[in-house]
Formats: sequence, structure tokens, C-alpha cells
Amino acid sequence: MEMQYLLHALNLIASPEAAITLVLSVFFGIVVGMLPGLTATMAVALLTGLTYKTSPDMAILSLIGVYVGAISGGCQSAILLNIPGTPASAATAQDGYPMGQQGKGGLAIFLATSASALGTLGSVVFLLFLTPLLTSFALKFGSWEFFLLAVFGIMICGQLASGGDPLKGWIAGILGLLASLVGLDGLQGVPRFSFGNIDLMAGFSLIPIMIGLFGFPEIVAAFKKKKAIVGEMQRIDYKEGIRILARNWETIIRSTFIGVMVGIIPGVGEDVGGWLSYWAARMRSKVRALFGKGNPEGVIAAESGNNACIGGAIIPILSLAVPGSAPAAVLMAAFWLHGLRPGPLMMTETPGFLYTVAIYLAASSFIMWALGLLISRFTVKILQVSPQLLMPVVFLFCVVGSYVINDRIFDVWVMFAFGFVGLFLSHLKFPSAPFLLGVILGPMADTNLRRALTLSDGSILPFFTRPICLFFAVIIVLMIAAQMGLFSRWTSKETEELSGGIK
Amino acid sequence: MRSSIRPGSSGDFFSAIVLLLFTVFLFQQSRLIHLDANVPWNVSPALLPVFLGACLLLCSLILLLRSQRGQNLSLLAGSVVSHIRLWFLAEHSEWKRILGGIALLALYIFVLIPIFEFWLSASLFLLAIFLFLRAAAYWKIIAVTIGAVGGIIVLFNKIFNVTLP
Repeated sequence: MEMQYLLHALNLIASPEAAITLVLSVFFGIVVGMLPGLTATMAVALLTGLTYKTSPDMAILSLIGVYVGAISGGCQSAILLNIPGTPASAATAQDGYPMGQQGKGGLAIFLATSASALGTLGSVVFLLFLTPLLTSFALKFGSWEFFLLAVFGIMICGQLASGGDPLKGWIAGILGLLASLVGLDGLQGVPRFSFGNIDLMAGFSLIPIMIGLFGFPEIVAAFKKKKAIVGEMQRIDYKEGIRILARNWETIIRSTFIGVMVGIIPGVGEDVGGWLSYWAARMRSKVRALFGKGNPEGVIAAESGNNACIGGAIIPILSLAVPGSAPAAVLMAAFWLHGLRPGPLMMTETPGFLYTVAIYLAASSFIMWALGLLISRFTVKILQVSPQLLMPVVFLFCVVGSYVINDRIFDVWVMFAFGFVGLFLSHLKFPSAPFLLGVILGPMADTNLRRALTLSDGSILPFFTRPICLFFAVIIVLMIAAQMGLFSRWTSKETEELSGGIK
Repeated sequence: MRSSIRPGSSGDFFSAIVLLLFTVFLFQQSRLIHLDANVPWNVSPALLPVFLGACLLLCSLILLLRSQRGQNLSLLAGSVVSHIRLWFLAEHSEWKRILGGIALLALYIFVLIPIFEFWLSASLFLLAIFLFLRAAAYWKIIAVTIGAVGGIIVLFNKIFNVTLP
């Protein structure tokens, strides 16, 4: 049966229309990824709006292509500019830029692009095996578990996406949950925070919020005067590159595994996957001192780790309807927009979809590898485009992308308003990813909390007596306790180790 | 007490005050929602807002206490005021560029789009913002404007059959 689904997915991708869509999407993703300031989340959010009226197959293919391309494309500016095109490539710059400075920029881009492709392909294997397992586990979930899963997702995302200040991550998550409550409530149809406004009663569409949160701050940042100095691109030594990749097969497998596991954790992005893989490679290396000075292993570890997050981040979407990262959250919204229902019932309702996503991911990684190397000859030219010329055009795309969802100007205003929210969040050092996760998980938390309390006649006891609930409750309590400094003795030791590892 | 402000603490202090005020508004609105729904609390549409309000209140109080721990309160408040002045009075040339750019974005969304067709509103917006930012030479500005607006119309309106704002 699985083979039949795989063949069907391969058939879908073999059409000329799909091939052209994929090449264009991956190309767009790589260009967005390499341009500092344009993130993968923004690219996927923008394209979700723009592909709203195309067929679901083509829309999802193009979104996966953009996602893979954008996460990988960031390595090129990290290597040539020392400015990661996306946060996911921050770890790549540690050794990629020194390699570029030593005249090995071409080799570094070859290693990074190849490691990205291998990481993505590895994550496809995990996707195919772990999604059914996690789905069968998720079928045991009731309303109590789903509510705690939403809370757990936001707390862990807040914890890990906040750059060492979980309190701010949690606040952002709570604000996102509150934004999702605007409009008629799902059970009784009572208007909340609508102030008698018909547009507000319909609630906020997810796409304008996402475009505003992630796109607007980048557009505004381009208004500042700054000019980047771009390095020179050197010839790629393919033979040497293949030799280095073969020598580092263990690093690729380890980083892929780390990336997938990080990707599965709700809301934790590809940047964490890249950093953790880099850190693990450095910790295990016999030549630790060479890291940060142009060690190819550092580039390979960071890139295979961050790209493996893509497959990992899709696993909880398909099995639990909880996204693993910010771009994956946008991807999940796109699935919904196109009538697909990710979650525990997906394997029974649309069992072939998992294989379609897997084939799309695998095809995207091949195209990304070929295009990434081809584009690298022109990277220097692309990076020289002035952000003051580029960003106003991107803003036009943001407006069109927000408008086409419902053909109403209100959504453009929502994009603008949430753009300010994103701007203030980034200015005041609050992470945006937990906010977005809150907006996505809000309806799930709201309806499941009230349904659970109705089933238990208002008692909260099942939250502590059901085994899965107890598991989530214990982890949530431990996270709060850690934030209150109850484990400070252990965490300070760990921080010392980490800071010794990553500089 | 320190004589200087810890980096980031004035932003945290400001955020905590705004969030605390927002929490008051949230509780007041939640009360109205609960009265409107007229159902027991365990199924009330105000249940999650109240729960979230309580969490936000707690987090904001921790943020407030943390931001002013070991700090001179008047220095902290002064730093917040000077930050706000920087934003609204646009004393720094970079802030002026940012505020001017945002004003042009708002002008496009709230004034130009409702009045004009897409091609005209988008062209006016791009020309205005490129000139304001001194993005490139005049010929380049005109070429990019025509290329971008024309490209969007052909791609989305003609090929994807999408209605443009």
C-alpha cells in the first residue's frame, strides 16, 4: 500500500507543471534565504497567500520547495558575507566565513549545500518512520491531553526560542493565544474582543498575521542606511568537496538525527538545530581548536543539522497538528487553507499525504542541491541588490499576499497592525515564534479546555490522573521551576559548558 | 543602587508596565464576555481569556520586579521616557528615515489603495518610497517600479487570476 502511495506521489511530481513549479519555488527560496533580512518563515508565509488560488498539490509543492530552498540558501551569505541569510545559517558562518576568507568560499558553499541536501534527505527517512508512530500515540489523546499539548508547545517554544529568557518567550506565547481568541468563539458563538465590529467578529486570518509578524520588521529594518561588504566567490573544487563529505559521514548522520529531534519539538526552529549540531560536532571532535577557524566539519554539521529540522518539524504537524518550527507553522496553516486536516486522523483520512510530502521534500532537496551550486556563481551579484530597492517591492508582495486570502482590505490592515506587533516584539527582545505558535494553537487550547471541563463536570482532576496529562503537567511544572531558579546549580554548570563550547 | 541602567532593563520595565495595563483591560473585557455568554464558568468563552490574563499578570509582575532589581527607579523611568522621545520626536536621522518610511507604508495602505487601481497606487507608492530612501538613480527607480508593478499584474492577475487590491 505504501508503495502505491509513493508511486502516486512520484507521478504527481513527474508532470512538467510540477517540475517547473518546483524549480521556480526552490530558486525563490534560495534567493530569499541568501538575502539577509528575508527569512524562511516570511517566504513561506508570503507564498502561502500568493498560491492560495492555485491547486492544493501545486501550492504545497511550491511551499515545501521554498522552505527547503530558504533554509539552505542562507548558507551562501553566511559564507561570503558573514551575515547569515536566515537565522538557521548562523552556525554555518562560524566556520564558513573563515573558509571564504582563506580562499575556500566555493568549497564551503559546495559542502554546505551538499550537507543541506543530505540532511533533508535523511529527515525524509525519519518523517516516513516516525509520523505513523507518533500518530498512533496521538490517537490516545483526549481533550485534556490536547489542551496540555498546546500549553506544553508554547512553553517549550518560549523556552527555546527566546535566546535565554523564557519569561519573554512565554509572554509572547500568551499574547499570541489571546490574539487567536478575537472573534466568535468556537462553542457558543459569543463574540470576544470584537467591540461590535463585523470584521473583528470573523477573527484574524492567520496569513496576514504571519506576514506582518515576520515580514514587516525586516522591511522597516531596510530603511536604515547600511551597506554590506560582499566577499569574492572562488572556484568550487568538487573532488576535494566529495572527499571531505565522505570523511565526515558520521557528522552528517549525527547532525541529521539532532536536527530531526530538534525539529520535532514544537516551535523550535532550524537555528537551534544548526547550533546544537555544530556544538555536538565540536564537542566530539579531536581538533576542537580548529572550530571557528574554517573547519569544514563545522559547516557540514551546521547545515545538515538545520536542514534536517525541516523533516523533523513536519512530523508533529502531520501527527499532532502542532508545528515544529515557525516556517512549519506557516506550512501547517497552508495545509488547512487547502482543505487538508493534519493531525491524528490524517493517517486514516488521507494516508497518502505523508508520502506526497516525503516525495516533495526529497525532490526539493535534489533541486536545491543543483540550483544552490548553480546560483553560487551569481550569489555575489544577488547580494549586491540594495535592500532599499528590494524591500518596498517585498512590501507590495506582503500586501497582495494578505489581500488574496479573503479579497478584503481588512486583512491588509491586520497585516500592518501585526507588523507593528512584530516590530515592537523584536525591538523589546521578545521572540515572535511563540506568538505565532500561540495564534495557531489558541483555538485548539480554547475548545479542548472547555470540552474537557464539560466532560468532567468542571473538575480539573483528570489533568493529573490521566498518564499522558500527568507527563505533560510534570514537564510544564519542571520548566516553570527551572525558570524560578530551582535548578540553578545544575543549569549554571551546563551554561558554562555550553559557553565553553560555542563562542 | 547603580548609577547607570542595566542594558535592556528599560525596555523590560516599559514592556511590563504596558502588559500590566493590558491585563487590567483583559480582565474587564473577560467579565463582559462572561456576562454576555450567561453560562457556567467551566464552559464560558471567558474562561481561557481569564486564565491567560492571570498568567500574563504573573509574568508581567516577574518582568517588572526583575527589570528594576538593583536599579535606580528614577533613572530607569528617565531612560524609558528618552527612548519614547527618540521614537516620536525622531531626533536621530535614522529614526527619521524609519518613521518616514512607515508613514509611506501607511499612506499606501490606508489612502492610496482605497482610492486608486492597483497599478496606480502601487506605482505611486514605489516611486515615493524609493525617492524618500534615495534607493538608486532615477532611471533605475523608474525601471524597478515598472518592472515590479507590471510583473505582479502579469503573474497574479493575468496568470493566477487573482484579484489585486
